Amino acid sequence: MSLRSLLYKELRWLRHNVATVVLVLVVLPSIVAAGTVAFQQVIPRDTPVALVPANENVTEDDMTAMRGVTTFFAEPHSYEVDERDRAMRALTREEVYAVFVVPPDLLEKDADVTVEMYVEEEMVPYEQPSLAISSILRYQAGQVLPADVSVERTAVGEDRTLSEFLVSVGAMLVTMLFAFAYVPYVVAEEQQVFRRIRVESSLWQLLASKFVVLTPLLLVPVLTFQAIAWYLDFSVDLVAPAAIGVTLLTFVYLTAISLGVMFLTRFRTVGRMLNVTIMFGSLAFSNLVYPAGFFSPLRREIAKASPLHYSMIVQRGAALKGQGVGIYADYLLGLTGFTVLCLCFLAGAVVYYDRGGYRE
Amino acid sequence: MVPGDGISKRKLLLAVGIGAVVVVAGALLLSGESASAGAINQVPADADTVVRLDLTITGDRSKQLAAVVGGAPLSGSGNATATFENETGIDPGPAREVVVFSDNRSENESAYVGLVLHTNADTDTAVEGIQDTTNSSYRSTTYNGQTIHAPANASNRYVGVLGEGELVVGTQAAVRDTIDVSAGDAESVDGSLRRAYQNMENGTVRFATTAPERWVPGDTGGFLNTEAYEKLDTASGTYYIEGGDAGVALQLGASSTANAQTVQQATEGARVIGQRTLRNESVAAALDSVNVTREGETVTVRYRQPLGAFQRTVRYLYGAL
Repeated sequence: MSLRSLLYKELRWLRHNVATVVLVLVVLPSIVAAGTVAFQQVIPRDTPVALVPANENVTEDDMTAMRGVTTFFAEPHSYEVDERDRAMRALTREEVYAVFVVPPDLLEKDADVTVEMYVEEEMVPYEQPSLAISSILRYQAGQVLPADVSVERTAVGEDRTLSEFLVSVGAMLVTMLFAFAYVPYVVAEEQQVFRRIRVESSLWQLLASKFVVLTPLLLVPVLTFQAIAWYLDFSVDLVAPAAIGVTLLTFVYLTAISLGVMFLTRFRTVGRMLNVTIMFGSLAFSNLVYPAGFFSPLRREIAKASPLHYSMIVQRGAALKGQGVGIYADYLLGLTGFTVLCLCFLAGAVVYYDRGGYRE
Repeated sequence: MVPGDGISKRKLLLAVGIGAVVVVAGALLLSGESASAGAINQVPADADTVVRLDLTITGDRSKQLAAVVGGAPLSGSGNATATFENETGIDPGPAREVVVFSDNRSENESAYVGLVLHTNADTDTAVEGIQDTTNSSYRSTTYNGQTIHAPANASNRYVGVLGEGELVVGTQAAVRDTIDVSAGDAESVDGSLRRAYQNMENGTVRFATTAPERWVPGDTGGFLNTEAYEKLDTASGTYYIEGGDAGVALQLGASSTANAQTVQQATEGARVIGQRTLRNESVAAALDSVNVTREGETVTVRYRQPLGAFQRTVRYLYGAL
């Protein structure tokens, strides 16, 4: 074969695989780049925070002034005076990342007032930024408000290290890797025998058996994580029932997506690349480590629309904060609904694949 | 800034939007770079800021002008009408409409600026009036079938004739483009600037800009929140007089709902804080009547006060008291 014909062969390959090539060489790098470009801010500016009046004497003007001051480094949400518990609950649920208790007399000249700021110990990556935020608030309020304002920052919950925090995130990453890389690989391996399976039983049974076997198998890496955590004396409980439950649920919906993609693309390379792209995309935009709104308002909204974001919140709540499922009931309900949708997507993809015949 | 107020008045002024119209219109007017309205259709597409002065709305236009200009720190601003005429060479008497336009994207601020004037005065008289303010001799040339009076001293006051009673004054490029637009050979102002302009109702002064950051003063240490206004894509406003009241409406277009929310919250906060901080009753009353609303990506600021109080507020904010 001459060099020329080899080159022609390569060009033909490029032409036939243009979808994959574009995905690998254009889309994937774009997502990675877009994901990193947003890491420009050291101080979060768009994280949601709660503003709660300290008592009945706090006026609407006080709240308006406080919103005006905090809007520059956060997205303030106002609560009523009797809703402090609800605000603290929102803190645990990561709806907000700090709670500011607004004192009365903010607008009285020379009044000595203290703004209480509550953050969670377990939200480790927010610890340093929250210190900076309390300084910024002290400075801004001093500049703008007539009262002499001091800020008292209190961290609630249990003290956790960054390593402990990252172990909980790591378990979620392994779940993603398992769902998007390993499972599609295993099923693709068996693609050759699909025709026979179709005759002797059905693809549905094959898929059911995959889920039945692989889902519990995911517990192995989770347990490994936990074993290392125990060995290192980390305070993280990945095997808490709620943590296990949400991890498995996450695995099921991610796997349904990845297999759906494989069936839709008839197990071509482009399917695998698409899965890798989805994995990178959800990794970059679900704010698994940093609070939603840490980087930009747009990314806050993307994260809030990502089921993985809620999976992480529930897992972190159970594994790191020792919370029960009750507080996250609506998140879990939403995740269950999403899982059903993903399974429907998978079913649709399989039907599509089945109707297309077995050409390969 | 009044000592002890603990707040920069200039920023407050900007923050609550009371004076944005006045600032922009005043600045352009007084530097002789002002703009016009049916005249808006003659403004070239390159402009990113337009300011229209309606000089025919009511009979008491000198009073209206005084309300705008009177508060500004003018040299010899005793008579606003005379000042306007001195600065621009335009006799507000017969003038109907002026639209000032500029392109602020270029490095050199004076690189592209002009004003379209519609007047009832005789064209030659109007041209002479404008030329008289420049201390320059002029020579006439022809461009695209119209006369351009070019200043011998290379100033930015080229005068182009668009038609009977219709003139354009400004830099050479701006004058030529306007003649082209008028002749139908070039596009007039369009897109987001035109939309922002048209979203505003007519008034004595009406403006729109797609470069609002150019008009936001930098942080001077007092009230650090002007940075919220740097997130704006467009700003448009109108200043009007109605039934003895003076009013300002301002529409601030942000690039996203989140940014608009920041602008809204910052503006409302500034209003409340200013109300309690500034010890001037007119201003406190003014701030009390400021109304801030948001719809999607657009924040609307409205303010209306009796004319006298309005003037006192403007004067206070300019530091005249």
